[in-house]
Amino acid sequence: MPTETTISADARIRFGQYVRDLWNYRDLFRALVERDLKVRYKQTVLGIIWVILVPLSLAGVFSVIFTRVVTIDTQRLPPLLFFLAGSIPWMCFANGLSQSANSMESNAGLLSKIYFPRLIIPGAMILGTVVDFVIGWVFFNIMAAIWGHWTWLFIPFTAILLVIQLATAMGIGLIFAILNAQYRDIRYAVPFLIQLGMWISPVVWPAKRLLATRLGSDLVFFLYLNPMAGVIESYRALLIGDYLPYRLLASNFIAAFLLLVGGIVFFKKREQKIIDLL
Amino acid sequence: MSWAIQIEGLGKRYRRGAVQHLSNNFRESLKNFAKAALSGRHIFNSSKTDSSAFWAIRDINLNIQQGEVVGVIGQNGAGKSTLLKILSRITPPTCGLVRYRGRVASLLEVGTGFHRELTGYENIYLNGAILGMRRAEISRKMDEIVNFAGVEKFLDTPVKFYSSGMYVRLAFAVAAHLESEVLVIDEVLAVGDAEFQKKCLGKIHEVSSGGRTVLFVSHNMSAVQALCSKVVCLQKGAVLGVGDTDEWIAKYLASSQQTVARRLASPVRMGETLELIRFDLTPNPAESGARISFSLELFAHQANRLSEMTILIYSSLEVLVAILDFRSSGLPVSLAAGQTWKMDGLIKSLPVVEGEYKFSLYVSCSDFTGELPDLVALNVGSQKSRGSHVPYPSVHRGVIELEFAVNS
Repeated sequence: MPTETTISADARIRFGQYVRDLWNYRDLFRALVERDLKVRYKQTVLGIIWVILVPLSLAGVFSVIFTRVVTIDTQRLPPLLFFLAGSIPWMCFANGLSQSANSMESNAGLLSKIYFPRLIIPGAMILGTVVDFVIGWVFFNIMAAIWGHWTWLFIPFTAILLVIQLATAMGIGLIFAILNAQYRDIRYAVPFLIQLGMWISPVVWPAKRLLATRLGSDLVFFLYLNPMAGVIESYRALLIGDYLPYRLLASNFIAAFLLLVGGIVFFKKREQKIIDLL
Repeated sequence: MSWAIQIEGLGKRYRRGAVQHLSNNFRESLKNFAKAALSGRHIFNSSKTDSSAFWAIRDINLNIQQGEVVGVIGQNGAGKSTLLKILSRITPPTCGLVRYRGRVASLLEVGTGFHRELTGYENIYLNGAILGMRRAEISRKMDEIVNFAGVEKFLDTPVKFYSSGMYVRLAFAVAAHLESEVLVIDEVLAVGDAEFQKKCLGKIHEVSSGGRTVLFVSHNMSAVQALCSKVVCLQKGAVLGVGDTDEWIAKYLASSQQTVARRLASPVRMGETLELIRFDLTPNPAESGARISFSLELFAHQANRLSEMTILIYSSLEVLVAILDFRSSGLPVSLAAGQTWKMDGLIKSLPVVEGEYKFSLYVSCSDFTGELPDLVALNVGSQKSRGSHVPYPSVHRGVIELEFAVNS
């Protein structure tokens, strides 16, 4: 006898059932990631080079402005490398966030015609950015090696840093994806918030001195709440051969975890209702 | 036989224009949002009294047995699509519940999730996964799907280069090979050529004879008649009746026949500059086989060139009965601004089975090409009986009343 399913207004899906549903649709997850990867650079001339070109040119402009016009302490690192350590993870984070925030709206046609666990859509978007990140990361490693700043520690630590970065992008992205269905203002707010985020995260400035101040002081508090701060600072610490900012990283890890859990709970609770609004 | 789907007290309420209202009023909703968030209420259940709320479906109770092919009919806005959307778990109901056994596969639109840039082969995997198939399952059925769709030669071509027929065939092929206990289909047969439609109907037959349950929504009554053993007739969100296919199709048609008037109520625009101001059929009502004269008047607001025009005649089952092609009868014609153009003509005999026939117009002019559907209706009454037998019911007599003779 096949399994019986009940649909009703107040049928709350249990968490276990939710996870089982996701697992049953794992092939869709894969198919969507594949689709996005195959389609993204079709009919472009530069193709995958874009993945490197964007953070590289950003870092290039920064290294000119912040050495010739205004001086920023790049902590004995070649300026380009210093800024790459900021721009490569940041761009990946920003892409993941904006794509997942728009994902429910951009897949409205699909969502309003077929049922599948809705979490797959933003999830696949985030996972798609990992491929971009890996390409950028390899480039970053090569640059670090050329300047003699490469260390094998990059490999194990990148895994941890990537988890923090993805969890943050996914957590915020899920909340925005739901809100965007009802308030299209989110579509305009997201690019602006991402820009804002770049300046309040240590993408162009070193957080080291700020971290040395007392924890209670006002600004450093925000660094502890901002998971991308720990990610970027850790890459730089690895380049310099410095101690990792452990306390910052631990706090950021917790923040990222809470964002992810909060995002999933928020999403799960409202995913059904927003379909009528898309 | 055991039940496959049970529906109890199902209802779905929508709020008219809820989205526009909110985005026009972002500050207002932000305030509500903050208030709701602070008081811990559910932010998406606005507490405002909803004067704009309406029930798309209400108080639906149904029992569908395993292996039944059930047609869902009703006019636009009767709630057919909403019912299917709830059954396929796309949107949650407002009240009531649905129970079903096994997997439900829904085909509410052909080619949902197809990506234009991907090849046919890649799209089969993508679409299959979206429909809930496992990768291995798709691989196993790949040959069958490709054969059914008849796209062997174009598997490695991006689907954006496919003809619309190929596109639809491929999409239906993937969905048809999904192994589910319940199959929900909405209007897919409206597209595709005749041969493919036949193939689809065959596949649906095959599916149901294999013990699977099929729910089929269509405006094409002859398809419903051919496929379904039972019909659910919806009206204004409620179940008007459930039962025998022929009986309920007849009742549905009788109730819907008032929708197309016998004469043109108001002028119909074709694009920006041309207007149809008169479309008369005389006599109306007419007897089967009678001479029908037609008269058309077009008004041109600006200079225009009418290159093609066709009258299309549909039966009440939405079957195209015949067309009158005027391309070799005075067309193309150039119209000056402010000119009224008239066309009168005669159908020598319209030997159709009694019922209502809807007349549409296909027009191609300088700034518009397309069909103007259901302009006028012609009521055809039965011919005076020639023999002593009572004719069979009209639903069993097809569309055309042929004149024939028997050699004896």
